[in-house]
Formats: sequence, structure tokens, C-alpha cells
Amino acid sequence: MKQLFLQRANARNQSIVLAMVCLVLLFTDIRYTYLQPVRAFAGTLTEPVFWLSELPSRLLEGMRVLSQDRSDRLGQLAALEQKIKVLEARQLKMSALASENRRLRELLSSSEKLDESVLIAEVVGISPDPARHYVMIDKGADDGSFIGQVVIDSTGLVGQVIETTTSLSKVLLITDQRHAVPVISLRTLAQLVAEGTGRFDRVSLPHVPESLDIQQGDVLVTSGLGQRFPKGYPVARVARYELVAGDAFASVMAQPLSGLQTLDYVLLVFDREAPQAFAREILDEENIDG
Amino acid sequence: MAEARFQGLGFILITVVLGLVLGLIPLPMSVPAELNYLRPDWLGLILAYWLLATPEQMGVVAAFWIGLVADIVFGAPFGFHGLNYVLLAALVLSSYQQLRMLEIWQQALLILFALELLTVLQLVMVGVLDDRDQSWLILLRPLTSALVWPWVFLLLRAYRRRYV
Repeated sequence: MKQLFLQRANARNQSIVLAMVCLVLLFTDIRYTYLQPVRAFAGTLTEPVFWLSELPSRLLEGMRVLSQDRSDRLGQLAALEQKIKVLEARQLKMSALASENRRLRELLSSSEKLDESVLIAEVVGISPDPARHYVMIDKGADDGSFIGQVVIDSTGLVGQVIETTTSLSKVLLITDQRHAVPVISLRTLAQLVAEGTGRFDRVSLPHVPESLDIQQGDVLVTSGLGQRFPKGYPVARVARYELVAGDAFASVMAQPLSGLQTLDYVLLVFDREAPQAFAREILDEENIDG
Repeated sequence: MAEARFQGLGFILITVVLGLVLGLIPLPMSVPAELNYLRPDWLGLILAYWLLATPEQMGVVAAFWIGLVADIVFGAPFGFHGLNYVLLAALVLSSYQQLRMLEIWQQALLILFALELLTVLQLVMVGVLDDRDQSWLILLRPLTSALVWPWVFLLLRAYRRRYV
């Protein structure tokens, strides 16, 4: 009996000490980056949990594919083949432009490269906490992914890698409250910053002065300022512009161009100078639309 | 004896991993992300069960480590779940003999109060340290947790009687 009471007193002391430790850890991890390596290492150890949690959706997907009608799938296949043809044709034009661009750059004796190298990755997990917007992808340090690496999909900027384990990476989405990306408006070349809001369909553009020419429908691409994101990846389209008379700044919201809530495959970018041609193409399309 | 104890730990560990996996299984992408706030804190409930059933095997220190693993797996800052689980363990251990005597629904009610208290504490701590907006919807989580407590309790008791 005596033993038991001793144990209880111990538990109380232990819990006080451990709660303190947790507070110190919280403070350190939120304010500083010292614990990053620990996280990467421990993340590698806990990878099996991720694969387990992904099993149910894999099974469901497998069942869906099995139960799908054969003719449906043949139809899908045909549609995909057509799409490949169209993309190949466009690629042809692009490579001609790329070589022309390279020649011009050589004339200007600029050493910038236009070849882009990307790695396709599958989204294998999404954040269980709605206050944090991130996804897990199935490429890690072993595949060459690194912290700060830019992640895009076929429609626009997705985010950046903030953690890597040996075979998984965590990608912070541009809509996370902690994320900001320097952007430029394609129509007026106005420099702005797109900040995450914690909502998947909105990024906010703070400190837009009254005099700045921004309107609904403007496409924002990365400006390359800050050196983290290469220039020219499409980010968002301005969805709402509101200027209350008397306020110094307008309230501007933009909608991310990539469907961040329905990501399945994303691309890891290995080249920092690649995407300018891509943006120009978007701009051309915009002009045609307009 | 020592072997039996070790074996028991193995079976407890399996349920802890299960709790982690249940907390991580992604909801379909078509549903609003806010539904995540309705997910019960499976890991916390499993921890509470073992603290209640076998306090000699599951202590505050184990709760601390499980909390740190949860922080890594759920992508929260270190100490986020740790703090929660350490305090939960302290609460349960301080009165597990009385808690065992209660009806399951009374336990569920106490779980609700305890988790709600800890969630508010968590909101305050993170609110002080972090500049993120936390949604008040997170206060719904203890509610769903309390609702599933009877099932967790009965299932784990059956499991414990069989294996541990």
C-alpha cells in the first residue's frame, strides 16, 4: 500500500516536470528551427504509420477501378491518348521556342538555363488538422527532394517542401496561414505578396494601396523575389477587390489556380529558372480570352 | 512474469499504433476540411483506457512519449499533444480507482470535461506562442470523443481480457 502512494506522488511530480518539458518544446519548435533534424529523423521512423493510414483509401480506389465498366475505361483511355497528342504538339512548339530562347540568351551572354527537370509525386496524405494546410507526398530525401523545394501541379503553384524524411515529404500549401509568396500581377506587373488564409479557396493580398491597379480576374504569378520561388509560376486569380472609402488599403482576395483540396499528383521542381515560358503562355491565353 | 509483462506491452503498443492510424486516415477530399474537427481523439481515448486499466504499465512518461510521436505523425509542433496527454495521464492516474467504479456514461462525461479543459489549455498555449488563428470548432472534438468512449472502452476491455 505504501508503495502505491509513493507511486502516486511520483506520478504527480513526473507530470509536472514533463508538462514543463512540453511547454519548452512547444516554444522552441514554434519559434525556432533547432528541432528540424529531430523531426526529419523521427519522421523516417514513423513512416509505416503513414503507409498504414493510406491503406483504406488505396483499397477503396482499387475496388473502384475493378468495378468500373470496361467500355468506360476504354473511353477514358482514348480521351487520354488524344490529350497526349495535343500536348505533344504543343511541346513541339515549346521546344522550338526554347531553343530560340537559348540562342538569344547566348547572344546576351546570359547563363540562365531553360531546361526544367521535374519529378512527379503522388499525394499520399493530407493534414488531419484543418488549421494546418499541408500534404504528404511519396518522394523524400532519397529521391532528391529538399527543404524549400517548389511544388507545382499542372494548373499552378501548390507550395513548398518543409520537411523531408527518407521516402516522404511534407508540402506546405500556399493557403496555410504561415505561408506567403511574392507575386506579380501579369496585367500590370504590380508587385504583391499572396498570404495564406487558412481557407483552401482563398489567399489574401495585404497592403494593396488605393492607387494600385488591381482588378478582379487579374492573374498573379510568382515574381521570383526572395529567391525561394522561381519566377513565373501561376499562383492565383484575383477574385474580390474591395475598397472601403477612407481606408488606406484595399481588401483583396484571390483564388488559388491549382485545386489544393483535390490534389492527386504534384511535380517537384529541380530547376530555378524554368517556368518563365509557362507564364508567358498563360499570359497569351489570357489575352486571347480577353 | 517479466515475459508476460513484455507481451502485454506489445499488445498495448498495437492499439497505440491503431490510434495513430485512425487519427491520420484522410477524409475524402470532396468533404469540407472542417469535418476533421469532428474526429474523435482516438489516441487520447486509447491512452486513457490503458491508464485506467493497467496504470502499472502505462504511466505519465509513456503518455509523454506517445504525445511526441503523435506530434510527429499529425504534423503538430513538438509538445502539442505531449502536454495534452501528460496532463490527461496525471488526471486519470490521480483517481483511477474511483473512475473504475463509475458507470461508462459517467466516465464519458468526465472524459468530456477533462478533454474540454485540456483543449482550452491547448488553445491558450498555442494562442500565446503561435500566430495562427485556431478555430473554435476544435472544442467539438472532446464531444465526439466522449460519444465514442463507451465503444472504445468496451472494445479495449474485451481485447485486454483476451490478450493482455
